[in-house]
Amino acid sequence: MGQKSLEKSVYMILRFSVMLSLMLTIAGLIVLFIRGPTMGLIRDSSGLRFGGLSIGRAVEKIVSGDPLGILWISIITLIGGVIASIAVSAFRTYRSRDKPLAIVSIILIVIVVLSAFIGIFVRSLH
Amino acid sequence: MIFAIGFLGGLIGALTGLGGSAIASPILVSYLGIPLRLAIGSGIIATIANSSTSGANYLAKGLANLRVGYSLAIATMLGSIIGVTINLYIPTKALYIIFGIVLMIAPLPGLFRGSDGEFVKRYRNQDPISARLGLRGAYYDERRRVVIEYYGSNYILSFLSMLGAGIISGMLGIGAGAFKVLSMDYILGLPFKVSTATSSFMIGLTATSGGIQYMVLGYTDPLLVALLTPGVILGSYVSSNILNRLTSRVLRIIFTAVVWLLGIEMISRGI
Repeated sequence: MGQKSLEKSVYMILRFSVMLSLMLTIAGLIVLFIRGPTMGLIRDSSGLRFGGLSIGRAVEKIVSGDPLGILWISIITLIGGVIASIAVSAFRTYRSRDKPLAIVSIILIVIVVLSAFIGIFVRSLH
Repeated sequence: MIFAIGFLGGLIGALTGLGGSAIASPILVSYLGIPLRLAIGSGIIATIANSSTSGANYLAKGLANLRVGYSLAIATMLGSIIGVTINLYIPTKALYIIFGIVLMIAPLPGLFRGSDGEFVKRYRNQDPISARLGLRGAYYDERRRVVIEYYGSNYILSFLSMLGAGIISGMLGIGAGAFKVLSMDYILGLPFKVSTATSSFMIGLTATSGGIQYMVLGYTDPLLVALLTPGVILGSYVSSNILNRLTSRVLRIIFTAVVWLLGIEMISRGI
């Protein structure tokens, strides 16, 4: 397996995740504008309301079929695409015994996990 | 309105090397009253989408170097985590000032950059770490019709400079591509075209670690992301495929002036 093949795989994963995410975004926005905004802290001139969404509330909205839940899934799809591309790189380089790139890919996955844990830790302090 | 802001951000951001959200976030804050941290936490997600589109294209074309991108993303992703943490602990006024200063500094190197295919620094030998990581490559330069080979070196120094770029990216929710490119041009010794393409690919990796943190912390607004992201992607596409062909230096100077105005606006909010 060559570098080209790996690059193509990464390209395909990223491309697919962006397309899927955009489709979910469009679907979420359509449902949202039919039903009307359901949350928010700030209202802009067009009447749309904005506000951060905690993971807990996001899960609630996904489960209840809220359009903001769909938009949340689109974000997760986007981030998931990047993580999946790194995971595939780690797996494929490990199998092809490309040790340096396999180690680098694994370190990147560890950093991603670390970022989530640090976020949770910092949140618990606030 | 937010879609239009995203489009404008993508357009100017791609030409000045700042990235779409670096332009969109200050506009959202200044003209729509969106809180700065919410704009940053949402803008960083738009950055991932933009990079996953343009960076992936560069990868498919053989311009972005996956090995270089991954090896240096260790630094930028760690930096991004530090940057997000700094963002939470510094006063909002200081954040405005830092954002403004970054907006004013970042477009400058792009104004004086050479043409594609040129090197600032070209290595023939590599340091042991760069050689072990395989930080080398080649690409076909269509304009010159030659294959250009390159060898990356000075990994440790590049790593440290990328850590700085990552901190800026995480703290302000921007791609900080201009700083990444600078590091790859001047320290690692990559050709301009490769460093630009690799930086574009790396931005998504960097923004992922920061984006996850902002999400967990509740600073990501899904609606804002949904309205902003398509605009940023479209604006960057137009900029890269249409405006860049014009390669007008005057256009770059005009857009840099717009970025400077945004920078001044941000600094004035912080004072």
